[in-house]
Amino acid sequence: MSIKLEDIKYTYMPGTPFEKVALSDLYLEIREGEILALIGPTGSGKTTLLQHINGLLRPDSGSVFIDGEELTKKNLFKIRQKIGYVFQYPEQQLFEETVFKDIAFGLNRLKLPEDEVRARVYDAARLVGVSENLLERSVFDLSGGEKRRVAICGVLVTKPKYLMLDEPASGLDPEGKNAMLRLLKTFRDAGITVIFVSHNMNDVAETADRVVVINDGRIERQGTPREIFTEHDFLSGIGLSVPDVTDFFRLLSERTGVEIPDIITLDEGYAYLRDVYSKGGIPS
Amino acid sequence: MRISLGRYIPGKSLFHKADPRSKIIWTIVMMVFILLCTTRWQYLMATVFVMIVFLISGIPLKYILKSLRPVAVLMIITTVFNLVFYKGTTVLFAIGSFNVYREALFLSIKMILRIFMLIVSASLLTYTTTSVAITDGIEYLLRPLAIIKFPAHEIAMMMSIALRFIPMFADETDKIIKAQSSRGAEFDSKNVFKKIKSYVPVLIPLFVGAFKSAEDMSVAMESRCYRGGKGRTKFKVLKFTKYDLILLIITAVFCTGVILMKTVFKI
Ligand SMILES: Nc1ncnc2c1ncn2[C@@H]1O[C@H](COP(=O)(O)OP(=O)(O)O)[C@@H](O)[C@H]1O
Ligand SMILES: [Mg+2]
Repeated sequence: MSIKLEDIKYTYMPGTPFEKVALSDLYLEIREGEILALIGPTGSGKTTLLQHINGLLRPDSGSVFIDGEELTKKNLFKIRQKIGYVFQYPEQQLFEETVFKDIAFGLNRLKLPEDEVRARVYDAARLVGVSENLLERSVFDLSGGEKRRVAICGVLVTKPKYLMLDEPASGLDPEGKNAMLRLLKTFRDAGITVIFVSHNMNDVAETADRVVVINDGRIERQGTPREIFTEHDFLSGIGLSVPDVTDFFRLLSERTGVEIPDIITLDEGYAYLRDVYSKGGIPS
Repeated sequence: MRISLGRYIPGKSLFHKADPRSKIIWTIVMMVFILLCTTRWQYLMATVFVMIVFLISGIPLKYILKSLRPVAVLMIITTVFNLVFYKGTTVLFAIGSFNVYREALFLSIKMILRIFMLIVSASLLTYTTTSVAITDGIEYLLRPLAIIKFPAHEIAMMMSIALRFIPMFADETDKIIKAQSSRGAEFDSKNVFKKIKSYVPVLIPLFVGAFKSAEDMSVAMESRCYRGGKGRTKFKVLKFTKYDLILLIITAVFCTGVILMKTVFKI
């Protein structure tokens, strides 16, 4: 089962001077169980694409299929329970008196028994790492990182099968950021398909199973992080970059004239260096 | 959501290029006269001048129609009532047992023209002038009132801040509604109380955000040493150009025409 977008076209404010074609000729398949990273320059249509997947925006033409079922007006509510969507800066949407109530908000319409609600909130909190003693606090008393986790819990309570996150790590401190990336893997290991938008190529290389590059409303490339991040010229041509370690080893290779395989994660870099040292250093 | 009534539409027309002050003066003169119009010749002249400026501005007709749409329903209802219930002397025709009088017809046409022209004049100003330019112009025009301690600068500043924040709020509201509906919120309940209640998850984040933006804004202004209008210079200095001359000549011709019509010709 998977998410499929077929020939999506979407224009903002058609017929006005502000008309903007945000997506065109867009085909995409998101496979179950993967972590998919969506990268692209600002304004390339990443957010617009996510909003099509859970029906917040309806394509001008083309269709969205969720597990083989076409997304229509009628099955919107049902499908939205399958697809969690964590907006950019989701902490701005917190509003309830307590953390518990805010997390449980998404369940209001489901009319679940009280102990089921409790269980789901606790499950979400545990998965995301929100400690239980925060649950009765006011949402406005938390730190930025805590708020963001609470907001993610609020999306996870409905037990989505797919989880979309728009720049989940932006605005967090380095520790919070790393924790967020580990969290994405935790979600995948818990059986949730993860789709996330990021501007940070290091994060993408370390976390994603597959990468989709979008530019000017079109998908330009898709593949494994390795396939994508070896296309240095293409990426810099559209204003993106490669991970820092990739750059580092490329430069090292250029300066020393030594053939170095493409390295895209810190672990690979570390393994490579250890290998080289154990063989007596970089041959010159 | 983003497109709002009277939003600035970039253009290169003479009316776009004119200084906001001349445009504001023109609009005020126009609106005052439209309210004072009584005879059909006066209406005709006002219409002709509004049309002239409309043609000069190069704003597509569909935007003008769009700005008229909100009042159209009201106009239609009032017209129907006028036609059916107004008692005049000359019967034009009858619908069932109701007589439609000539006077009622004229009254309706005048009323429609008046309201439409008021809206068209105002929207021509807002379609061709950025809100920043409008407030700048207003501040300048109100400046003489400083003698009677009228806070022209403060009022203009408040207006421009408000205008700056409105589209931001609209976008923000749109975003929060989307985010909460993704979380399972329901906004289309038929029950009024439920409907109001369903907006709590939108209003609270909106207000929290608004207060935060206001606070940030005041800190930013203060840290740039903002202390009111005294001695403040402008980045974009308003200049009187040939476009203003043309516009003010049109205004003057129009005023002369109005005065002649009202006093000498009495038509
Ligand atoms: N509500 C909107 N109205 C009009 N244009 C929009 C709106 N939202 C986004 N856009 C435009 O559509 C394009 C794609 O936007 P978006 O999907 O937000 O890009 P990204 O998330 O990749 O930065 C941008 O050029 C943006 O200016
Ligand atoms: Mg975005």
